[in-house]
Amino acid sequence: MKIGILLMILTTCTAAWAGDQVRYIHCQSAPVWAAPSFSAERIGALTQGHTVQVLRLKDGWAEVQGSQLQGWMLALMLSVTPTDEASGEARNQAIELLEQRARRRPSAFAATAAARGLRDKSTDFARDFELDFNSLETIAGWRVTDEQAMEFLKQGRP
Amino acid sequence: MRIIFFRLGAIIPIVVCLCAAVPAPGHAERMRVRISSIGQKAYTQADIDAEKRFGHNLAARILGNYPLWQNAKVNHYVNLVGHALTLFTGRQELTFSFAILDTETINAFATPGGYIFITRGALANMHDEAQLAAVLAHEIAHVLERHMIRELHIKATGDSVLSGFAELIGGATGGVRGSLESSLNQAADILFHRGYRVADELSADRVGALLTATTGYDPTALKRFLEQMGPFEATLKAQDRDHPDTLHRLACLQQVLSTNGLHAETGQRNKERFHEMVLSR
Repeated sequence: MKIGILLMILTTCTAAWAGDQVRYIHCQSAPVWAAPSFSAERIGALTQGHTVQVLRLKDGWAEVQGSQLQGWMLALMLSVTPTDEASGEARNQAIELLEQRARRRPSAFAATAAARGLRDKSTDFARDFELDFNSLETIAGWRVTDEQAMEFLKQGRP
Repeated sequence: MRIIFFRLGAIIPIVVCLCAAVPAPGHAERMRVRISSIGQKAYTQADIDAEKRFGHNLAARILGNYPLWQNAKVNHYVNLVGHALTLFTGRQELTFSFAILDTETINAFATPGGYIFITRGALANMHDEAQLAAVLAHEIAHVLERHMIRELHIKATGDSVLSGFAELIGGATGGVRGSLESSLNQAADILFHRGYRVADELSADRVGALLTATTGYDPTALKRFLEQMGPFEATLKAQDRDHPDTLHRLACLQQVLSTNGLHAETGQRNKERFHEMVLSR
């Protein structure tokens, strides 16, 4: 009986792993090497939106088969979710906007909560834990775009 | 000057045991990579939302402890370096933010969801842009690998975006709210006192080094920075249960570099730009 259950669990796990080898490229550019080493020949790059099949893993590297090339890339660049499902971008932006508005200052915070018919514990919460949400707004203003970052990288190369 | 970032490991036996398991080619590390980078479970959108909300609160908590350094020019520069690194990661669902804390303490922090902080003291002790990138990459790696999320079991309590929002602003039950407070306390304890688990620190070193190299920076930068900080160690006492000592980190880093064919010549240091942007501010 126990062996049967064990076999069932093992079979289920194996099937899940074996059937879950497709991964997605979310980053702007994922370099692909001929072998799992930075000193190997760089044979190309996969860009955002590509789907790959993971053939095998080795020490943080993944051998992948893309539509146009096969090679090795860093495993950390692969995602389990397709690009368009990665974030539910519109919904995230809506949450962010709501939170930004609510956290603008304690009074706004309380007003937003009140407008939503929620209990006003947020200001106590912020005070108890010495939370500084105002500085987070300043930080948000310092963010840069992908294009700015790529241009910055180019400028730093010989 | 109080230094936290380079605490000596507290419990040598644990470090020694993990040393055997964690180096790059080791079985345990291979398993970790499989679990966290490739075979990672498909987190639900609600889990990712919870991670972001938790990280947002934790970031506010960090800023409650250390003031933000209000230097737009240098903060912009740190954001450029940090954002460049994130272009090469698989977690594009996150919006990373970078900022400098106004303290002489040498330290760096990451929160789930993508807030990365570095102290003015750490910045002042760096020699080039690659070292800045390496420290940021180490912190980014903690986020990519969800170290804190997994240690504290942070997850969504429901699928509703609105219910998650209500939790944060106090609309949830006392129990849920108490849980959030408790988790924030534990997270702050990890960041300010205990440190991450040894295995997580070494994993962040490893992933960070690979990320640094992929972005085009000198992959030995973190190793150089840790070596520079070596003399400070004499002033340190073990403050936590399990932070890996620097010698151990250096040994593991060297192994990562060797295994992956990485050496100083394979990347940029951008010393001049760093001096122009940071040291001559």
